[in-house]
Amino acid sequence: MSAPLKVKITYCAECGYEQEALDLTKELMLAFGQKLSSIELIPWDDGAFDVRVGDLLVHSMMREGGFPEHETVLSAVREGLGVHT
Amino acid sequence: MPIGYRVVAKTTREGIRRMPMEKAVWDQAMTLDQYKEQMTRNREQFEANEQKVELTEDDLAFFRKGPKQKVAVLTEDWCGDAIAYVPVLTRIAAETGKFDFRFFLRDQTPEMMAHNMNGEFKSIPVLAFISDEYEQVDRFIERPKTVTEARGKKRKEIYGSDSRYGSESEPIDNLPEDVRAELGAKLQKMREELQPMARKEMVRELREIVSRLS
Repeated sequence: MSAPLKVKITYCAECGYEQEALDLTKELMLAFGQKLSSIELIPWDDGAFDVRVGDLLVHSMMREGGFPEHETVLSAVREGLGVHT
Repeated sequence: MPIGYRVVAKTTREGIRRMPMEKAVWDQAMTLDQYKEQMTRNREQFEANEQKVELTEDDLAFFRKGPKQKVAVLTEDWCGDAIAYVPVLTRIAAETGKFDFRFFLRDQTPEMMAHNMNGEFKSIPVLAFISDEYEQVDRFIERPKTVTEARGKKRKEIYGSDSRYGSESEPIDNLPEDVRAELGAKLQKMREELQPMARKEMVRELREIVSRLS
């Protein structure tokens, strides 16, 4: 059994990125269900949209620009869970 | 087909994209009253911000002397910058009668947004200034640059005031929850304190645009 894996999504509430955060959250919930220990949504400002899977920062709007491809995040979660497809 | 612009674009010597807009699109778009009616949040804040705008006699004289200007406002009611800056325009319009505007929702007008991107970002509000020939001839996006600079300076000061806040470039989820909440409250307070200056800068930006178009 793999260690508990948590996903954190930090989104700019000032910018109205709720929908993008919810879309990604929904996809993670449907894909992984109880395999994830939690999905944390952090409302922030300054144009943030960052996704951390476990200790790994998978996407940062400041670093990569834009929103993450969902598959990039899903793939990082699979890896974190030790699930190989 | 999404409402918005025809696809033909020209560029002026100043680099401003002149974008034809269908007159029918303009005519069918929301008026200020219609926009306010469909707002599902922040209407009270929008109207409170209209009342907070301070206009000098010189500002009023400046806007009153020019021709009436059409402005297409691309916005959404959830956007903090839109709720802060669009009321400056609508208040000036109410005081001077020199602006005629129509409202468009960002997420329902992708063509219009595509022509007014802020780099890779769909920043709003966009105030697209429209000529009598229904061409977009100038625009304002998001917030005055001076406000962005002032906010950036204040953010640095806040981050620098306490080593627990770490660095601005670090993802915020690295911080313990209590420290994050404390920092978030300070940043929010800073934005509120800058609002009077921001409204003045918005008036200045609008004066600059109207001067360019005169």
